Amino acid sequence: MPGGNSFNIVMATGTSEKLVMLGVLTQTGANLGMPVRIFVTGTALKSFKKDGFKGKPVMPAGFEDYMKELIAGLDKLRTDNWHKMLETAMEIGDVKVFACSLMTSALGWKKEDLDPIVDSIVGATDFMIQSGGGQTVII
Amino acid sequence: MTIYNVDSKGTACPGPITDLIRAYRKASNGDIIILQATDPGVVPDSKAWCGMTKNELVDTKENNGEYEVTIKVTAKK
Repeated sequence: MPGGNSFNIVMATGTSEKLVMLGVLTQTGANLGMPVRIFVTGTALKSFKKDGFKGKPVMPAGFEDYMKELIAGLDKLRTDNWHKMLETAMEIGDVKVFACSLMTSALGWKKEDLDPIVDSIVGATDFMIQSGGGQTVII
Repeated sequence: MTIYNVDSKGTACPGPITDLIRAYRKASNGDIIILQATDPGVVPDSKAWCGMTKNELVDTKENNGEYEVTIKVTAKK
């Protein structure tokens, strides 16, 4: 199976803090020389629509005050936003982003409707074969 | 031998290691990378990276929340 040593991420939730996690894990995997394969589905797909990352971040319900504090702290650090982290990871490593065919079909979105960092629209079978044997995390 | 001074102060995880990797790509065996950072994760992350890549961790220092990690490049192919 291809992707035996890859680090695989199923990105299912599109709230702000989860997108930061995606950026950090992807950039770290690329730093370590691991191929990183990302499958975007569920509410996360919204941020991967063309220019979707420029939209207002979605905060996790019930954590509004905490998120304000967290975002203020992140703003003080020289930290890239999650999208820039993905771009950096793609620059230094082997990173591919796939969009879920079920969800894109349900939304009526085509490849051209998606952020250019999305490599292609694939089904779960293709993603699982590409990531076979590697470690997979779900965010 | 070339010494690469990498100023990653103010960046947070995984920024310092990304800056380290960028310097490492330019470096040759025998070169030294001096990584300066304020992220407290930089020391354990650098140790782990050196262990994984078989480069040599020469020294680590901490002074008032600023960290300096010195790495000798030994594993370039």
